[in-house]
Amino acid sequence: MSLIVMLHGCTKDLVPIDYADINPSIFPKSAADIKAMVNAAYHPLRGSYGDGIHSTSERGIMYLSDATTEILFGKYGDQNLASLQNYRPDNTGFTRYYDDFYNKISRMTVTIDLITRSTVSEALKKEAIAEVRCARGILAYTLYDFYGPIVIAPLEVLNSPLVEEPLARLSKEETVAFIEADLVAAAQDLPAPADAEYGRFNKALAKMVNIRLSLHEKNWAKVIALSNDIIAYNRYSLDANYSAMWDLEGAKASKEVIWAIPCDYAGTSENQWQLMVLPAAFAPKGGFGTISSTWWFYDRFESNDTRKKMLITEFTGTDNVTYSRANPGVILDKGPIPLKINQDAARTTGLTTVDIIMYRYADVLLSKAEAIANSGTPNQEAMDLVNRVRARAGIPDKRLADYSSLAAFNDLVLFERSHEFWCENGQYRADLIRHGKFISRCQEVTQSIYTNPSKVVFPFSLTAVSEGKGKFIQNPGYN
Amino acid sequence: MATTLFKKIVLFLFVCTAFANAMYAQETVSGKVTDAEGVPVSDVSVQIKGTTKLTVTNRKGDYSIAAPGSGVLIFTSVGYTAREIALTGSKTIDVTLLVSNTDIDEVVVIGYGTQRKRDLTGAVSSVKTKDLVMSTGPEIGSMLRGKVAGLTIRQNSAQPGGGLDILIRGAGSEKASNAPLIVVDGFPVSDLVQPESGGRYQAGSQSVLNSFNPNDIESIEVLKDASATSIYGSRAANGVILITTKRGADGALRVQYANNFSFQPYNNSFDVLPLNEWMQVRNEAAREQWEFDNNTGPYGPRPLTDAEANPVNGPFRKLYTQNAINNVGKGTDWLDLVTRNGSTKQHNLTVSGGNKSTKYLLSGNFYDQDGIVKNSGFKRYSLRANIDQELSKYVKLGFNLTTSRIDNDNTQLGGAEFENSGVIRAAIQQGPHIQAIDEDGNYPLNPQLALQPNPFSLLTITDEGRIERMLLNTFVDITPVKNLVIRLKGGMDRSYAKRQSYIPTTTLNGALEQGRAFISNNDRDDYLMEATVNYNKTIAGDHKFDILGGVSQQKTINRFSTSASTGFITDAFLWNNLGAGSTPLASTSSGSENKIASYFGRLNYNYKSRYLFTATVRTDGASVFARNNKWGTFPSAAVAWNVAEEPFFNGMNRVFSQLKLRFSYGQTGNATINSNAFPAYGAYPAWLSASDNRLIGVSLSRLENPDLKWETTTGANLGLDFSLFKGKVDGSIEVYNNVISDLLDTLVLNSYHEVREIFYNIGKTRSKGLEITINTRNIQTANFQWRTSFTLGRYKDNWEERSPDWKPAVYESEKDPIRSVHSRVSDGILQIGEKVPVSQPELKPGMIKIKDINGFARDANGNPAVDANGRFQRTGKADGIIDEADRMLLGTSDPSYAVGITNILTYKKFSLNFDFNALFGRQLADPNYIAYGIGAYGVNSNGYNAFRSVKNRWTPTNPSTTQPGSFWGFSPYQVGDFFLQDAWFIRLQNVSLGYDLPRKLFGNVFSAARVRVDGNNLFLITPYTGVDPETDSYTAAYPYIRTFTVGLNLTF
Repeated sequence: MSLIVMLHGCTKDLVPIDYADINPSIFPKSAADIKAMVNAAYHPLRGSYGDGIHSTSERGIMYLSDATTEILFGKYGDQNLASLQNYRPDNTGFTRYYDDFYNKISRMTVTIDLITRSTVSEALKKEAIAEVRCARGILAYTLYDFYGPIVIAPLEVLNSPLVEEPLARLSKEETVAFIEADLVAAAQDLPAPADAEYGRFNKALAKMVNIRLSLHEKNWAKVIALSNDIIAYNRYSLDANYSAMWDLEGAKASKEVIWAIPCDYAGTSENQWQLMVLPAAFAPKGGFGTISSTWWFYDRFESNDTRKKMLITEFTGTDNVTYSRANPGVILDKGPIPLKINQDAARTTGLTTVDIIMYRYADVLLSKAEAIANSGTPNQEAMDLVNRVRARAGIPDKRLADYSSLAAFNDLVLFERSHEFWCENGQYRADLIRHGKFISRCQEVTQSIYTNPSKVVFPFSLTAVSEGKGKFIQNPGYN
Repeated sequence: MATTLFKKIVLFLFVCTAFANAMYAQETVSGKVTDAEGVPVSDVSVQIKGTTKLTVTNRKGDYSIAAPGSGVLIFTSVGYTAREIALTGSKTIDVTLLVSNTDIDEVVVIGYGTQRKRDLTGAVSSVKTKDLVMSTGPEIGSMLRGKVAGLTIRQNSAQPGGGLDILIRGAGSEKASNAPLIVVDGFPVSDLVQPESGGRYQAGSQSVLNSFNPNDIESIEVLKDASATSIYGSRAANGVILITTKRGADGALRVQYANNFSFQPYNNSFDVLPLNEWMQVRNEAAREQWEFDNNTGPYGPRPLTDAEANPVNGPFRKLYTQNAINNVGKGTDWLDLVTRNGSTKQHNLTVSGGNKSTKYLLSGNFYDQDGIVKNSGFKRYSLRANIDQELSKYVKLGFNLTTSRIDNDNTQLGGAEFENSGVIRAAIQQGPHIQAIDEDGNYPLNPQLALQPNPFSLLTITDEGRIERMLLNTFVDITPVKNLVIRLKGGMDRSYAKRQSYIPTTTLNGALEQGRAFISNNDRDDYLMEATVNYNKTIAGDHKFDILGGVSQQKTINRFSTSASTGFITDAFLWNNLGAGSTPLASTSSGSENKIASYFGRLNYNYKSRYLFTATVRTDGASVFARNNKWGTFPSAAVAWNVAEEPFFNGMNRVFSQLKLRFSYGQTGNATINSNAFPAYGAYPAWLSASDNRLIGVSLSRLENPDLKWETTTGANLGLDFSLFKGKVDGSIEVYNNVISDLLDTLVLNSYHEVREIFYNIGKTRSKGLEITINTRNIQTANFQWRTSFTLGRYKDNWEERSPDWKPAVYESEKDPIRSVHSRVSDGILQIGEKVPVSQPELKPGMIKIKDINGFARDANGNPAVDANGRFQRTGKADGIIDEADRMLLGTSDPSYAVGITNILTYKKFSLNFDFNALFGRQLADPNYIAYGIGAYGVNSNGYNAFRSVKNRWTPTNPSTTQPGSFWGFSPYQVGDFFLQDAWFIRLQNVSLGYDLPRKLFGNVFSAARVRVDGNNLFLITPYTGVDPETDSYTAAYPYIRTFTVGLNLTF
């Protein structure tokens, strides 16, 4: 009997201990806790094959977006479905961005609430909330750009996770308002470009993403105002050397880069672009050769354009074969190798230390040019902005007289955008859609029989539809 | 002189003896009683039939008795079959007693005690290791295949010490573990595996029982129904396997030594193309590809002339000339480079003995296996000691110590592809045109897949796992008054597992990183404290009560850590100089502590072995249980009626020595989710700073469910035990029905939540089954015995009730089998000229057709629509679209029947033991065939090798209806069930032929010597065409090969 009593004495406290977890009763308390939660808001925006939306692989925004345009062509896999615009609701490679990432918007919503209710200083709260809202704005814009309006769960719903509550997608206006509110608030409280640490959000970035949103909505006045704000920071200029921005430390040294995602060999944030585009036989270090550019794209660069030098059209492989357009093998048959970044031959894994450049000042200039032209007619101010970007690329100025029609000017800007921003942030897809050329370009370049006007947004998975219990409506045309 | 005197004395004695004999018409018969292994048996009673004259054998097995010239001597001893030997005038009669097998009187081990088999009320199966062929592997699990009805053992990897899927009565849990509780000498042990290597390669699986030397094991009891298992409470729902080890016995010092040598001749399981044939196939495949790319030939409408005039990817060029093909030879045989003949050496030494008060057993085992894939090996050193000491009439002490060390040589296994391919997969797919190693010692790569490692280079990887385990068990038995035993028990299972690997610069990945060294450690302490009280009492002669009560506490502490570096100036350090790596990788670590506390009790009532009743209860409190459900109680009860003991049944006693009906009902639990339901935030590297330092992010990782509880299995079991014709036939039949409720599952929350699931008790499953065990003693004479055991088990696991907000895929239904197989239905291969099905406009000849059997119900926009529960609906009609609605339920991946047949024969000094193991009613798609055996696409495009069977692929000139063409994988409609084949099998698992060497060969050096020749996995009857229907669970699985063993057992 005494044994039983003894045993009972030592089992009163049946609590498991997992030293690798953080107990919620001690979190979040300190400034360090708040910072860690802010870092968590950046986490989904990394490049990461597993769970970073900006992965430079087929599981990332840029790769897949550019593959739907003439910039990239894939012969197999999701990249092939993208190139032929042949995606359907059961292609998880296309539905996963929504399924995998839209709840991170909720995480940020809850994080903002936790920060608000925490006991740290108001200054710290303000700073932290601005970063989280910027992250939420970027993520929501990215998903909106891919899928159209999405489900954004309100805090009250998030506070009772065990209550099942099917939600409908917001309306277009609500979605845009939500994103814009975040970006405006973030721009308000984020540090100025000069004060922000490299790799972190700043005012200019929040405004740049807002420019993209405003372009998407063709709100030209906002584009102009936001562009002017960024120009007025007087912090940014076009780098003289285009390709140097993608040198090993290029983005960090650049005066042009508004936001880049720091990446390194050991991961955390991963850039694996060389692995994706270099063919196996490439010397000194090959890759998977999962995707190439198109000759259609290459042929539309002007002859002296420095920006096309990073499209590799000829190389001698480890097999001693010289591959070229004339002797393409299965490597250069569809187009050149789009090695937009430094080869980083010293890389020891599939990952490189070259950072992922997301937004650059050139985008501000071209956006402003497009907005000026579209809010009235193309004028010299707009053409000058375009020519500034062209001049850096080493190609001659265009004359306004040759592009006096809006359609011609828009075409010019569109070409300029593709030549300037290929393989960076994937926004060229949105540019084509905005100008109504997304479908026709695909048909022209790939002869695809699969595309149709509904392909301007990606489909949702059947599980998203099912979870909505009838409230969640699939994008049209995906049956 | 001396000789003469000696002779005289002998003569005198002889005369005296003869005189005495004549006088009493009696003489002294003497001899030795031994067991089948030639070991002396003491305390055998030797009686002259029809008299009271009796003697017993001494410790050397010797006896001597004065006997009449004629008559019969009866030799009896508990546990042995009695023998009667007629006196023929011979004065020396040596007798071999065989262990009794007609044992309804046999004692079996049950939870916290033992019981006579005759009095069992629950479903318990017992296996004695002496009936097993012990040479076939390092652990006991694989030897139990087919031995116990209701115990399904499937080897999931044929590597040395490879893992087993062990199931008792199926697998009714969805997320929680379905593995049975394993209890070694009263200590519930947990699975212990080598930690992960942190690298890209997998090392296969390891059996949970590897730490325990099978030669040390006396018996295995499998507890199946609630009555038998509920004494183990919250851990018992998947059944319990009790392992009881050998102990010393009263008697002379006994030294036994056994030595085995096994040989596994590698039989080339994968028939890949040699270079000349490969070049031929590649030429053809290149042409196919060109036609496919150009939309011409069978693959499209484009006229050939048009394609040739303006070809995509240039004009077709033959890769190799016929002359080159004829003269090139066989090329590199990659499989030959990475495989070898396997071999195993085993030594086992057991020393045991004792007297009335002290008994001891010591044993040592060394097991050393080299697998058929190079670099795969398994070494185990184990040592065991136990002592039983009687201090006084009241106090007894016991001590058990088992220590073992396992050294695993890991090779790179796993089904991963491309740059992560393991050595077998890499060897299958590497083209025969590539050199294994060049003149400079470099390992050439496939130029088309420069990130795929050279398989031969993978052999330079060093990857070692070590598992050390010390299981210590001590107990004190106190008997203060008669029939009352108090047992205090303390034990510790101390284990340490580590993994050390180095990927050298000779391999592709090692070269990229300048070597990668990795070390991981898993340190675990498991403490057990226990006290039990056992009291038995007989009231009024026939009412026997046996009462057990106990308390127990187990505490488990786990610590895990890893460290790694890359960038070494030399490969020579291996993992021994992490500091010399230029790039230290992030260390990781984790740790946890868990506790379980229990109270349990059992009451047995027995009336003349005729009416039996058992009630059992256990209450468990566990730290992993949630706040509001810390304690769970698991009761059970059973009744049994042994009809054969009824007076009215007396007339039938000649036929039935036992006819016992049993029924049990009770509850058991399962809480193994390897996690808990406490809220937690997780910390992880989230972002990089400007200078590439890791910034740590923290976010919610787990939600709390304060009400989470264990799964409860409520089981009913109806059993019949019978023994016929004096034990010539005995066996059991069981039927059971288990309902597993409060399933530990993850409740899927709305996916917009930060954490999308929570551990929750939802739904019910049902497990039903039937088990038949029949043992027959076909022939039983002095010289020849033949026994047969037959086991049959069947289980069916179905969903009974789903989560209320379950959102199924359109093809799933409420009560599907748990491991259901849903598939589209294939409809043959599209041939040239055949009309392309409307539902599959993109299908090309040589691809697999799918039947359009159903369609989604759609909304006004034509989109699949859901009902108010979020469930998609089907119309039941073909809709001209192939999609998920066209999947149908094919059945379950569980086998329908598991059957085992064991035969044990002895004839004089020979013995023969052979057993079959079979699984019926299962289907499998051969993963190797799918990856390498069908089309030649990879041969052309990637320079891969393929199986010879690709030559039979569909081509325009070979319109196969069974094997699709090279581009079958390009069909957007999938392949449905096309590749599924029947995979039932009957395997001759073991054959063992033994011979006891005549004693005159070795005189007095040994008391017994025995030689054995064993064969394992000698043949397989199956319609399955892959390497092995049991172990082919992924592409390039470790092949399961025949083993031949010779062995020698010596007893000193």
